[in-house]
Amino acid sequence: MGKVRKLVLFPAKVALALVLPSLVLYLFFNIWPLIFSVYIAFTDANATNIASQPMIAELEKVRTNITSYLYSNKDSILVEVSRAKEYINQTIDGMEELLAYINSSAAITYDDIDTLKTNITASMTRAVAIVVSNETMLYYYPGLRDALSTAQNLIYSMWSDVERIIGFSIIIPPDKAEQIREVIAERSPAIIGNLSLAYEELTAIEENYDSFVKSAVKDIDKQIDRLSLHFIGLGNFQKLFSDSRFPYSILKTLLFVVTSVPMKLALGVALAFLFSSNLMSGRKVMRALLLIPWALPVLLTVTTWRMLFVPDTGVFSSALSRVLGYEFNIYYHEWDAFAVYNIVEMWLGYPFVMTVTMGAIAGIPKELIEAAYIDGAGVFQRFRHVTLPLAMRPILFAAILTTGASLQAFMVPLLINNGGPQGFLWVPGFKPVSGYTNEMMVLYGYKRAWIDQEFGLSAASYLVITLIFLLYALVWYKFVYRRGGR
Amino acid sequence: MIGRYLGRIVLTVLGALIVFILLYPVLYIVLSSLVRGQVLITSIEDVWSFGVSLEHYINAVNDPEFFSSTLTSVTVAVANILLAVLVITPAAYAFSRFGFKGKSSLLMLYLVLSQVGGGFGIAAVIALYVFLLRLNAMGVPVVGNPFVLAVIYTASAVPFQTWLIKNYFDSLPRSLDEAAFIDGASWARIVFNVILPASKPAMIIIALFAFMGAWGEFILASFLGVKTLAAYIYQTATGQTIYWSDFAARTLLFALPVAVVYVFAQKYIGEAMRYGAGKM
Repeated sequence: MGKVRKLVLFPAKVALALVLPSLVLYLFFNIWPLIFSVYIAFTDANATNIASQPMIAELEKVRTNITSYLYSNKDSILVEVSRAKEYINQTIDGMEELLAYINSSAAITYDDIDTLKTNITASMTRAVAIVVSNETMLYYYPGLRDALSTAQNLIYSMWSDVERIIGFSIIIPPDKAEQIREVIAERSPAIIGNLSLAYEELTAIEENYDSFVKSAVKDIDKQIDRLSLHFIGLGNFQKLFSDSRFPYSILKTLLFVVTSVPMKLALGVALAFLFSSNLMSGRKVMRALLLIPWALPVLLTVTTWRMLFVPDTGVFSSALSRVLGYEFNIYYHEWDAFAVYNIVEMWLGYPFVMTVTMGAIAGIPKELIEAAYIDGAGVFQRFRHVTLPLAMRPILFAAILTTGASLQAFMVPLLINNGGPQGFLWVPGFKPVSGYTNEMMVLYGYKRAWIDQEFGLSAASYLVITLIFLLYALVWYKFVYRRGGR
Repeated sequence: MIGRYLGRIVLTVLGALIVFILLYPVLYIVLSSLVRGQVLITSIEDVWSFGVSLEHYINAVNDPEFFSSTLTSVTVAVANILLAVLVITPAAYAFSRFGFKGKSSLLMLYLVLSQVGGGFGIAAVIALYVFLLRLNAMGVPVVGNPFVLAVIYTASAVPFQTWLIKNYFDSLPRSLDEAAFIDGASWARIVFNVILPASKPAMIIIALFAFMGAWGEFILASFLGVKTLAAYIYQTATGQTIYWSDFAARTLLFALPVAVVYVFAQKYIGEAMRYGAGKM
């Protein structure tokens, strides 16, 4: 009976309607980007090609316009092509006439040369005008364009040489004539060669119009290609492990876990036990005060620590420099910065460990401790054999989470010194390289995206990092289960 | 008896000393913000020798960028609170009261994702950024839009907050809504007269967390080019020359609301950490 009523009071349809908005939001803004980032990890995504669809669409429109123009005006363009061929032929004829003239007649006159020059230049100019015209778009055909412009340039330089030799003389003396002969004989084979090449290219256009259209849009295709995402397989992962930078960052992070987690745990647990003692007056207020690091935004607290460790003038760094006998500098010394990270992480992490441990202590039945007291156990014995073992499970739980936090170290290195200082990174088996010495892995991925704008590489690094997290989760899961956890 | 008395004194002094040492950075930044002139104080005595003044707070408040970014932050936070309350309260209620297909697996998924989610945090931010860039390039005004930022904050808080509020609803007696139903109340009456008044505390919890999440976050805000107060503070914290005292005052003003909210939300912060939704 109860079941029937429940079905009426809480129909599944309504439940779906209630859950759906939040679910859609979550899937769209969290799950979808995650899946997308997995895809990006296998592409060459960067600043140029990541958000280029509108530009690509624009270029594709231009491409279609050009193609359709060239096909719809094929006939008139081919007429122009044959005209251009004719002009090129005329130019070649003119060149040959010129060669015949300088080889045959004994005396070279300025007028003769000028007539020949005018003929050649006129036909050449007409051919070029057709090729560079926007109506034919023949200039898109790279072979033709190059051959023709080379020929044109050679002709220009030949004429300017000839004119330089002639100078102001109206009657050309034999020695100058000899020089002119030499110049023209020297240049003309190349000129004629390029002109015939251009002629052949024009013939090719006539014979294979499609290839001309294709080469007309080649530059645009190249641009589209540059703006497109490419699937590059494992390229990003190869790049990640091509030098020591990323491996070093992984190792550094693991080292940070090994050093910072015991510190956080030790301080948190010690404070919890100390401030649970009912011998201490005002411990409630002090406990609340001790949680302040937790209550303040990291932006405030971590930058404060940075202020305290600013080289030279910082309170702690100058004190440390005096004690240690060398300049304690988080901007120059790799391990100074690393030590500061540990201190800050400990400071940020102890309130959590402390809270969990205090909750565990509060949960221990008073009778157990009293029984131990009556049995004659001292303070230390009670702690060692009664309180600590009973609080162990919650502490273990806190350790697991706080290890996760150290593994994801990001804010602390970012705000203390941006993962610096710069230095020489070397991991055996990898290429040595210079880079940021304290770039923890999450920070590494962040900087590849934020500074280098190499989104593919960044996403790939996050895949590796996630794999490490999962591995860690698996390890503690197994560990807790073997210990007889729920 | 005397030994016990002595022990109390020793322990209390020790406790006070520890509190002083651990809170020294907080004391330090407060003093830095109060010292006269732009100095990086090197010891507490400095404050006496330089003198105390509120000039840095006045500087901070008079900074037009501080004002405009605070306005942006308030916009984002309010939008985030409204959206989160609107979207998460009904969902949590459904998870608590209704039986539907896939409920337990969805809850499990939420738990796992919010646990591991912290790890994906930045990765998801970058993927999201890329995705939003694409939207932006298509003409959807996404970059620099505070409301988009609020929607994203709400979305990423869904798993944790759903769990938190579901637990709250679980602790409310079912007989409450059932009684109203048996009395023949309409759906609208049940919702507005029974469920909504009862879920007021839940909404307050959501609002507190939504506020803290939106107020303190600066990575995504910087990526998206929304200049919230946190993003502005981050920007001033990374500059070449930092006027420490001004910076301290500005940052303390920024932290103040979070600290106040924290006092109210204290009970739930531990739970927040347990779900891996650590504060930003």
